[in-house]
Amino acid sequence: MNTFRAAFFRELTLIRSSRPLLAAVTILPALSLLLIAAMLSRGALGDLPIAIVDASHSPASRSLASDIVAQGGLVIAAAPATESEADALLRSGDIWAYAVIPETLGDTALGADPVRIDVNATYLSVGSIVERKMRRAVLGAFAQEVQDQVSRSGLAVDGDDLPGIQVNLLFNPQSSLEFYLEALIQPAILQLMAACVGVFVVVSEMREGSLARWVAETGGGIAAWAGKFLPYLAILSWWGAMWMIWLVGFREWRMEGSLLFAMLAQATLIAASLTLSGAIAALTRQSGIAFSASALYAGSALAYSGGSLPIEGSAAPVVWWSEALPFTHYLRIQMDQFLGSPIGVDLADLALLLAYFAAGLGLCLFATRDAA
Amino acid sequence: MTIREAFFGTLREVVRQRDVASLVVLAVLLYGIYYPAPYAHQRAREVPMAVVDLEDSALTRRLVATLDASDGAAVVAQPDSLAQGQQLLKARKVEAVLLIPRGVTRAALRGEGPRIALWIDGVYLVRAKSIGAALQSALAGIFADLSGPYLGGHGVAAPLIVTQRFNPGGGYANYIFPAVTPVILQQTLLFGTAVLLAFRRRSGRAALADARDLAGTWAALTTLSVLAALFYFGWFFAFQSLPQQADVALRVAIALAMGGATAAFALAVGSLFRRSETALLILMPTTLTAFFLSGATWPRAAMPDWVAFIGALLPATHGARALLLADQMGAPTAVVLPVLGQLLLLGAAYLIVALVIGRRA
Repeated sequence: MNTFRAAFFRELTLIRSSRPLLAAVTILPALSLLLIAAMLSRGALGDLPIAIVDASHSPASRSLASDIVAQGGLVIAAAPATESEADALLRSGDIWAYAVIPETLGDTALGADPVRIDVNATYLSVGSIVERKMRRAVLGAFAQEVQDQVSRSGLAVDGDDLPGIQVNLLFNPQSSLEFYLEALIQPAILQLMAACVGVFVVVSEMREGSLARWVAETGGGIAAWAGKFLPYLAILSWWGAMWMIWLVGFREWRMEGSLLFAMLAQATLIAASLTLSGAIAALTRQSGIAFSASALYAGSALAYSGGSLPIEGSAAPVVWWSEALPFTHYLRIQMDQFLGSPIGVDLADLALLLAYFAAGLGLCLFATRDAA
Repeated sequence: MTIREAFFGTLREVVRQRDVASLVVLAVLLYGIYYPAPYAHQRAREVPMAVVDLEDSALTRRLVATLDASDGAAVVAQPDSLAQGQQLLKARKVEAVLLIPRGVTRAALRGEGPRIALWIDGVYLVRAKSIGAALQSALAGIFADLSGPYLGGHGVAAPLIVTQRFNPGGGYANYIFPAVTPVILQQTLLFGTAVLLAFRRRSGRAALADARDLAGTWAALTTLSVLAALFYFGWFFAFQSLPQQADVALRVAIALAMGGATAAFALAVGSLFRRSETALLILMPTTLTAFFLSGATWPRAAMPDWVAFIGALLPATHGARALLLADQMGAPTAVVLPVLGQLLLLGAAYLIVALVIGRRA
């Protein structure tokens, strides 16, 4: 217990005496939380500019244009006369999409010209939202047209008998990009911070490339290592909890599952990152290598997590690496709890995060075995 | 010290100091392969899904078999009810549940097209969209194939054709890799420069002694950054088969403007730190924030002005804009030039800041 306390209080002294370290666990997380929350604070993407090339000039085409605007979030910024003018606007980034309404709008016979929509898919996340809104407006107008024609011809048809597939998004029916990004970004940032702090606090104790003095002064062993990492685990987990409370309490995203369980998982991820990066620093005794390794496993964890594109279609080494990264398992737990999965589904992932934490601590211990 | 001496002296330092070389050279090359790897397959494939087939007819059984055989989906469960399907979804056994109601065949024979519903976990929004797109295209293909025998070729004209421009099929690597490239180039050069300047200070000299030292150091770092950028634009983009539209001259111009501004930024920010560990502790965690501030996923126009302003201080933000406009979207040069102008202004401003901070020993 004395060893633990000695290491713990020594660490508090280190935080007080090192302004960069103090900043790294206070100002830096606060600023990044604030910046990302502020970045997404408008919630909606605002009025995204689009253009309509209207070759029909009919009441039907004007009504279609107002249907598109009625979807919300889109504004008709230009009405170019030709498709090539619209294309120039799209290429210059002035508009996100344009629709070409054919002369024959309203003709549902086979072979009639369809409405065409060209979307800028360079920015895939925004482009797909614009696409979805425009598609819904056009298909809605078309469905009305089919029904009108069918009823004029005297055939009976159900209102729901429309061509196509109904797609429903569970948990995020509004398909909010804000929620999705907010849920993804903050834990990834916090993990990278924890990893960098883990390296720094170990490197700070090195004298002539050795941790012998730290071991001698604290007593060493697992209790000293636990005492060393605990202050950072507490502070960074507190920031993680603040972020979740912001998301659930203020932005009012419902967590269908257990908030406490998700917080526990996040604290475990932070603990694992602190100890693993600390262990790399203690084993290699090279801050450059330890920081680079941390960037490699924590900095790109989001890309490998499958949170944006399912990883399953990737080459086998990519899938293995994704499974090997702690963040992948954390994100699974967090998102499952948002969706409302039972905790039992996620216990294996939590156990793995705990195993990473234990492995990190064990490697730290191994690195100082001779000094003890 | 002449500019020439500072230039070659800096290149020597980069080569000799392992930490600097590994950040400025090795990390840059590694990330060109490592970062896009999980996106290389572009679209969701073999998405595990459950199908609730309430009709269980020859047509629907064929639909399920064809769906399973398709590239987009793998049918791993056939529960009896939608409630069971949703349980599977919550238990993470499947990513999507498809409901085929009774009466599908009758409706198809009447020429009314499919009436089926799909449930996807929307927590992962972009992932849900790629899953939805994979399943929808698989289903559309199946219905097109079935329309011959079952619908006799009759039906309703497709009312709408959507084209995903500049990124055919909405590929994910095509979207994320060009957008993240300027951030990779900016951050690796920033880390390497901060470590380099800290080494200089530790050896008892000023980070940047005078204007000539600054000019030579800046020119050396710009050279490295431009070479790295050209390596990405020329080699890694082609390796990932990204659609590219800009001609070589414009790509070189972007690499030059971006490299110059990035090197100036790295010198200004890097000279704030006295120890390399401190620099990496503070700078490394800013990487994700820098990427999101560039506007690749959440447009800059939708950010509050002060957030957008902070993003505008980063060279990567303008670099990404110029690169995406020119190379992905094929914008005319006249549209790209003002963005390059912003990069030059930003670079000049950072050089002045670097001179002021760097001279302090």
